[in-house]
Amino acid sequence: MKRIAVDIGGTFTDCFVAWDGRRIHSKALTTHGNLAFGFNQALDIACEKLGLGREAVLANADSVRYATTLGTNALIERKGCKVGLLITHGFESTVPISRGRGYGDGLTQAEKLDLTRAHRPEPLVPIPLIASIRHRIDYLGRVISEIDEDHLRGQIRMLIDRGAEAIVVSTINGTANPSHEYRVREIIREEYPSDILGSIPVICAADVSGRRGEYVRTTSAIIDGFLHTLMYHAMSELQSNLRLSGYHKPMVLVHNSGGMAHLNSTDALQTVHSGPVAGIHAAEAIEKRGGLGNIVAADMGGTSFDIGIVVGDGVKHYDFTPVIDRWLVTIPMVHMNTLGAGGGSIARFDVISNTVAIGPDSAGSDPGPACFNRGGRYPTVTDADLLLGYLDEMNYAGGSIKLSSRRAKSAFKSLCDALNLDLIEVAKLVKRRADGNMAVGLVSELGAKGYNTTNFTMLAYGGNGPMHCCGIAAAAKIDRVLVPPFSSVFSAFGAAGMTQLHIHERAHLTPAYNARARTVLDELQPLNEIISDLEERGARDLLRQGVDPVRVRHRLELDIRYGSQAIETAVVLSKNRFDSQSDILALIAQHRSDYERRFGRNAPAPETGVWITVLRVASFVESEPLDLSALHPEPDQTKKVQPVSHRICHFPGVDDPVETPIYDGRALERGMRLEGPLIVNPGETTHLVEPGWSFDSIGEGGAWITRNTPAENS
Amino acid sequence: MSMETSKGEQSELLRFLESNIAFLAPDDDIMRDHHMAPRSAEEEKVLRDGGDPHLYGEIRRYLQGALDDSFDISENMVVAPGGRFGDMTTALFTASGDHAMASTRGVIGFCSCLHYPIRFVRKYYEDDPSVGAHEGDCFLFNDPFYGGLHTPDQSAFMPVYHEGTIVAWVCIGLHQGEDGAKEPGGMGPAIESPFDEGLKMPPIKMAESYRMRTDILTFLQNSCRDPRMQGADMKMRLNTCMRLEEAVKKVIADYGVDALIGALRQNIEFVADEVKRRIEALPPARVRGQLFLDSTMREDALLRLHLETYVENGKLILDFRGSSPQIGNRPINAPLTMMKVLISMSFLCFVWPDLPRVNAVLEHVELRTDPRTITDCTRDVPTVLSMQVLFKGITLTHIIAAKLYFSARKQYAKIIAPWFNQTMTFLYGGITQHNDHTGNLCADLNGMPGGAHCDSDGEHSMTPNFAAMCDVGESELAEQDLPFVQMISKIFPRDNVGFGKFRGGAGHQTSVAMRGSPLWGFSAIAGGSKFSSVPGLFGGYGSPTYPVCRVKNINIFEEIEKGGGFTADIEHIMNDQPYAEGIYTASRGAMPYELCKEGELYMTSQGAGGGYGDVLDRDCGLVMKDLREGLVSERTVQEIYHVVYDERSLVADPEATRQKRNEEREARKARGIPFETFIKSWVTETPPNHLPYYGGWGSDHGRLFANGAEMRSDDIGTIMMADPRDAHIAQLEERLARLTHKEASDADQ
Repeated sequence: MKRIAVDIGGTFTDCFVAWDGRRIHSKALTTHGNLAFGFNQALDIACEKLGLGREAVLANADSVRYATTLGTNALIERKGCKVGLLITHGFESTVPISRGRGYGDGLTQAEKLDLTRAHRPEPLVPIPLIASIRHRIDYLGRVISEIDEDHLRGQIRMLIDRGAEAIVVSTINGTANPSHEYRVREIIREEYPSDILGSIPVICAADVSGRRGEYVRTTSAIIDGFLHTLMYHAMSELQSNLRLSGYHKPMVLVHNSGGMAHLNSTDALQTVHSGPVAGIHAAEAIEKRGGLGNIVAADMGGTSFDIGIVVGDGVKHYDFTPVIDRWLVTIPMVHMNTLGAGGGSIARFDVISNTVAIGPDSAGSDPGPACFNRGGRYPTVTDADLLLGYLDEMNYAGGSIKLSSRRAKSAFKSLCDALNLDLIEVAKLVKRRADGNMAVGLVSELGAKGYNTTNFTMLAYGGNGPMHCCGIAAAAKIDRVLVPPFSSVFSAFGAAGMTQLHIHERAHLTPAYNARARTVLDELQPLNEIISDLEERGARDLLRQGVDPVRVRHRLELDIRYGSQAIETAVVLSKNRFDSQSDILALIAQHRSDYERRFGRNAPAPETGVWITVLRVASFVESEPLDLSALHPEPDQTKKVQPVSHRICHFPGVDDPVETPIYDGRALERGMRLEGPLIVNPGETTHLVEPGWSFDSIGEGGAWITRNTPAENS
Repeated sequence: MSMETSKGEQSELLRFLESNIAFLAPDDDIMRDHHMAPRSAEEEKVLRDGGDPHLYGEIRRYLQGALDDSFDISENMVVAPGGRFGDMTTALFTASGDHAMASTRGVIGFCSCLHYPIRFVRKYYEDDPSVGAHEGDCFLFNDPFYGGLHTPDQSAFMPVYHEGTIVAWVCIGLHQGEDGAKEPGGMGPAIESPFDEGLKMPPIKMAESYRMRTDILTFLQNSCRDPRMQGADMKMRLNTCMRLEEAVKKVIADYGVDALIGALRQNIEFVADEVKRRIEALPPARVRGQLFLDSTMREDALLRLHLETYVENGKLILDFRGSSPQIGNRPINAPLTMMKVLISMSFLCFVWPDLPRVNAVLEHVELRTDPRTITDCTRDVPTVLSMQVLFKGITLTHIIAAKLYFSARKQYAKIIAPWFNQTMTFLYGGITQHNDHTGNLCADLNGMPGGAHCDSDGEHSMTPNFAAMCDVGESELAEQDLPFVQMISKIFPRDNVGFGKFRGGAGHQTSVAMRGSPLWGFSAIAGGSKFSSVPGLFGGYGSPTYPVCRVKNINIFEEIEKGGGFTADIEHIMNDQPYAEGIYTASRGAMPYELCKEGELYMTSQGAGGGYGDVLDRDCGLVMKDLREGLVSERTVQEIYHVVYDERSLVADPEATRQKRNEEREARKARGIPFETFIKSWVTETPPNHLPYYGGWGSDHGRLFANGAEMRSDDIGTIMMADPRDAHIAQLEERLARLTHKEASDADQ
């Protein structure tokens, strides 16, 4: 195996190389002007560790995989192109209105509640760039009104005259019958053929999503159009850079659906959040290869806390209408819940409840926590960590940032005064509340999917994950924490293990059980025809990328709902065709079982009807997985290690200060066992093992951190 | 001759009276008291020394997560369209029935009144062996006189027991809609009596031992048009209560029951204390305001809602006296409980949105009302559209608070002009294309635009004025379940914003046409067709008025097929009347349910948010942006905003605009008259005879007017309206008589 995986983040470009049994990781600063520079730098560091030159590595690499936050950042910074929208007449204000809730999507709960300060984000498509298509299709795909093409040509010219650099075409009920969208695209091509300079990208909403919901589908297509040109140029630069360095295979991009594909088979929207999703994929690989059972992945950084769920029974958790930045969209994205909590979260006095509250405001990375000494004035979780003795003032983030405890103390003063408590008590309270908040988020997340923390392993990664894992796990009543190998480049590590995958969906409303007529679906041919079509589309995507047809696999999933409920539950089927009514009954039973587990024994309501709403086919090829079998080393009592120093630390629930040993993570060998409290600093992050927990090194920077006395869990 | 009764006799008398009650009617001791209960012995024990606020904060954080999760899950599981778009709430109550916590999202009003039925159950059912209250019981209710908002809302609550004692209650409130009322969807203008309102449930036990009672379920399903929806949503409610009960029990297991009791009670007390501090800090001002309902839902009328606010002995007084008398056969009357709900909604949405969402926000608030008015109606009048009073009341309270807080040293919310406040959409009922019976409402009623801010424009159609983050539905999802095509889903019409220095948000037009049903009809329940619903603030303009428009006797789908086309613009359709055979009508926004034929057009428009400040102060660049976006007409730009611009480039000329505006300011002064002259010409002793006026006139609240008559506020009789059809027949008969007389006269000549 010779793989290179790169995760280009806002600050760092992480690189992971799997090379004939060796596993190397490296980091370099992201170079926003030209991403290739940062990539080259990170790869050069890795190559140096391998003892090979960059050209030699690239010339022999099987694949180069990218996960990137470029699209996410461009969206946040509104750095996309000018998008024009053509939408069914009568729906022109659909996008400006944005489902009502649009003002609050992506904001904190407090911001959502305050109607007097509510504002929608600046639109990606301003009203003057919205034009209409005079036509209409009904929910079954029947044409009510054909396109008024003369009118349409005028509308297209108007959009181009107003400066549209990409056009999104969205028709109502376009998922039931996309022919009008395709005809509009033809007309745009007739007016502005691709061989002239005025030609611009045209995106049909029905191609971006096969789901009903005109606002979310149109918005998905708009974001795709908005990011299209920017992403294309940035990725092309990277591809050129690879070619110049001797890599001539197609570049592979990580998708937020949990798979990856070549550049020519990737929509811009599919790359948004691909970095964190690659992290969850790594968690999935760890579950599958390491036999860990259920995992809750907890990625705690400076400003956010991402939670993902991986369960042993193979149930996949997707979001079908995720919020991306401030926008509600519809794409099948690996489910991930992001809380506004991290090391930069600001602590404040809650005057109403007479206690401390954490966040949602964050000092972020600029100015950062007060102890960064860069102008931050408010007390943060990282400041509390420093005051409690967990952080080394001179050696934070590999020594790249020098911390100031004087600044931290100063920032805490007003909080101490308000609470009438001493500095250490307040710092303990801040840590306990921050950990508690994240634990609540984690428990809620599991609860919403029908799980409790019993039998879950917490996977802790990100800059602050290994430091707060004991506190979070204790509050969530989780006994086992795994700090995975390569936790500091975990998304790149995840990308290295991914497979090529494409998902195609079709909205198709049909009753599996018609409650009024009391009949079970027996017309199975239409379903099978749709499945065949979706499989063909998926196979086409993979074959285009040079995949051997015999390696193509398909996974069939159906979204099912009871009666007119809003919730649709994805059911993964073991077979890809329906042969008889028994298959439908099995589908209904499987849906019931999933639903019951999620929402409770009394929850299923098949008596109101069982509807199939969406058919989805994931087409993929299996590739050789990373070796993750060595996650359970035998404890080796013979291996001893001495701490490099000791520091006075304070722990919530422990009254007195504790002299805590500090270990150099690079000196910890696989199989070594240590008892908390202790601190491990492997270089880029800090592992904090609190009293009552023990530490087992598994090598490559990974460790098991387990509670000595298991929590009583319900 | 009087006889003194001994204590024993008194007790015997009391026992007799208490054991011979024919009907457990709503209890005034419960229903007129919105204050929190005194600390129970358990609460006092836990909180005597202040408790542990840090621990309680941690517990509440967990419970808040549980409430929000339950809300999200319920929103996904619910079938009723209102609930699917956020028209519900989950909540926790103390053992005594005080509202302790609520979900972040949803309609706070549902739980602002749930303490009433909980207290009713505790007082009357708990020790009644025929009912009782036990672990796993779940109660359902909807009657506003036992604490509901209006009958289409059905709320459920469940006691949480610990070692045989109730330690908390968990609840879910939800707009169910269809409930077997005279009009599909549970409400409509044609409801004329409490007995037209469909199901009227005091608290009833819908589940025992966590199992739904099949007899109750079947009875309720049998009493409404959509039994499957009723059943599914009852199941969802039970499930939600069980989920919340589990969360509360987990807190008890993890932290102990005392910590739970402390966390819940302290939240209420903290909010009450904070509200007290905020009231004490208010400026010593007395602020008055009034708004008018412009119809009874069946006929045009001006029904006054009056409010005077001031601080007295540390209490915030909200004096609604001088408001319209109740109308005996119209559904717009509101019980006193509804007025309290509207105040908590308004305060938590627009005045103190930072406070935890609990009913203790009213702890230091007192209401003054006259019984038998639309602000404190009796049980014998219909109330299903009491939200007409609620919507207006929220706006009125909001305006008054904006004035109070304008110069206050500390503001907890931004000062904004009023939100739009009407449910401008259609209710429906009939048989769907899937052969299901149904009746409910279109979710785009939630899309009320926001008022202008003190420093920026208001937001276009977003969320109702009574809740945050309610959603506006997707037309494709509605069309796949319901037999209509949204010919206009969302388009902003011109000039549908409240003008001002900053403009209010725009509302969108909407139009539906039935397709593919054997039996279907629509109704509408909005006011504000003749008299603006929402005023502006500090010189800003209010919202325009909105009719329901119909084009009957056409099939729009056939017209399109014939090449007639369709232009999605109500103004064009109604003014240009493009379909030759069509019968075009524009009527009041409240339209009783009527059957429709395939392809007939029903149209209406969401209203506008109020404007803020003087139109002449609006940045001319913003005016031109509005013009380019189609939000205002050229006439408005020229005649309201007085902006001079180039008609081709649509770029304003700032200097010419400044000059034109100065001219207008001078013209304003020239049009003005001295205040005393105005008062002399304007103020009259009684309302004009031609005006169908209801309520007080001037500042004497003891004197009310209705149906052209004057009455004392403490002696309001029964006020009934004639059946509009009878009134119409009488008009026709009078006309016929006149014509007959004329004919006879002509013949004589």
